[in-house]
Amino acid sequence: MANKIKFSDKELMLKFQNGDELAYNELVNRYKNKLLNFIYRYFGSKDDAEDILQETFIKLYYKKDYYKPISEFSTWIYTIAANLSKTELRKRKRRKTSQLSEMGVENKEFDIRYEDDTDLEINTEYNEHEINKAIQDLETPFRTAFILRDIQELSYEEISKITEVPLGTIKSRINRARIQLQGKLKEIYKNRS
Amino acid sequence: MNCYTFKDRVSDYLEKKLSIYDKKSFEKQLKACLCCSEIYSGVKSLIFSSKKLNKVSVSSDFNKNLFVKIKKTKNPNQVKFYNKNFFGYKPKYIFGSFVSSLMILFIILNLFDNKNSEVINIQPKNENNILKNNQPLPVFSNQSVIDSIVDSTQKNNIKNNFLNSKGQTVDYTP
Repeated sequence: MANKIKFSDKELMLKFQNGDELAYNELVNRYKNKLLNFIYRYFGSKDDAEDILQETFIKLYYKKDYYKPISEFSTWIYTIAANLSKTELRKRKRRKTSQLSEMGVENKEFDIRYEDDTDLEINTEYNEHEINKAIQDLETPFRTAFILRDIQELSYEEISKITEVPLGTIKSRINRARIQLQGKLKEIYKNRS
Repeated sequence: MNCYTFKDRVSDYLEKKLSIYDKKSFEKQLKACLCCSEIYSGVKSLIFSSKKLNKVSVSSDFNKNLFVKIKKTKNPNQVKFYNKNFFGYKPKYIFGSFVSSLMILFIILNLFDNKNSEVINIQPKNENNILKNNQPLPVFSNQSVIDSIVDSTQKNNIKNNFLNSKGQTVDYTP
């Protein structure tokens, strides 16, 4: 069996910059699921996340020449995905605000669903649906920092590079996001009881 | 340590980044305050649960759809020739700066070119010139009359060359 040479992300990107489309395909395969999970936490919908993911890879395809090998490829691609997600969120927020202002009070839909049977103890595992809901309620900078750290399990340094925010700010954002999230989750569980 | 500091340091404690001293005071506060202990257990559970969230994966035809879309999409961000970088400069900027430098050069050359410009050559009338030309010089008796008639420039040129009533050249410079 022939040994398959494993190229680094940077090498693949350089090959792709020189016109090798197989290298692009390999990069897509390497990052599609990681990025999907990252984007999914922004929107809570797989279909929406796939659309943004597709856009991310299309941007990678056409903007390949903008990549400089001095930076990590993973940081670069995460930055693209994060920026596209933020832009989409902003668009939706605008749309939502205009729709809400058009609706009457009686027509407003409140999408808060609770599971029927739950363990109310605070130090048990939180329900996935609740966590996703609470994450989506966070402000975008806190959400990005939390997802990258606690779900994607990236280092503080990588997160700082992706978000282009100083390391100290990132640490504080992650801590604040965690405090806010646990507060929200605690409230949800308390209300249920 | 108070509750505010405790909140600020929860993550550092969970990631084992506190100094021994801070760790001890953190643990002291954790035992002493019920509210802080709830926050601590809440954050700990959250981190634990987040790591165990279900992973989603792309649909089976994701790659196929992606390549179809890439083929359909004409490069919207294609870098045009005039936007490309050549040794750190863009052609449109090189052209622009070349033209503006030429214009500046042209303006400077025109400003300092003496051949075509009309320069009024004013020669100061000194005593020798006046005497050579044998022109009659005005006669004034005092400085105030002179000052009221001639402006400062003219004054500079001729005030040294007036004749007094006896026909002698007198320097009226104050």
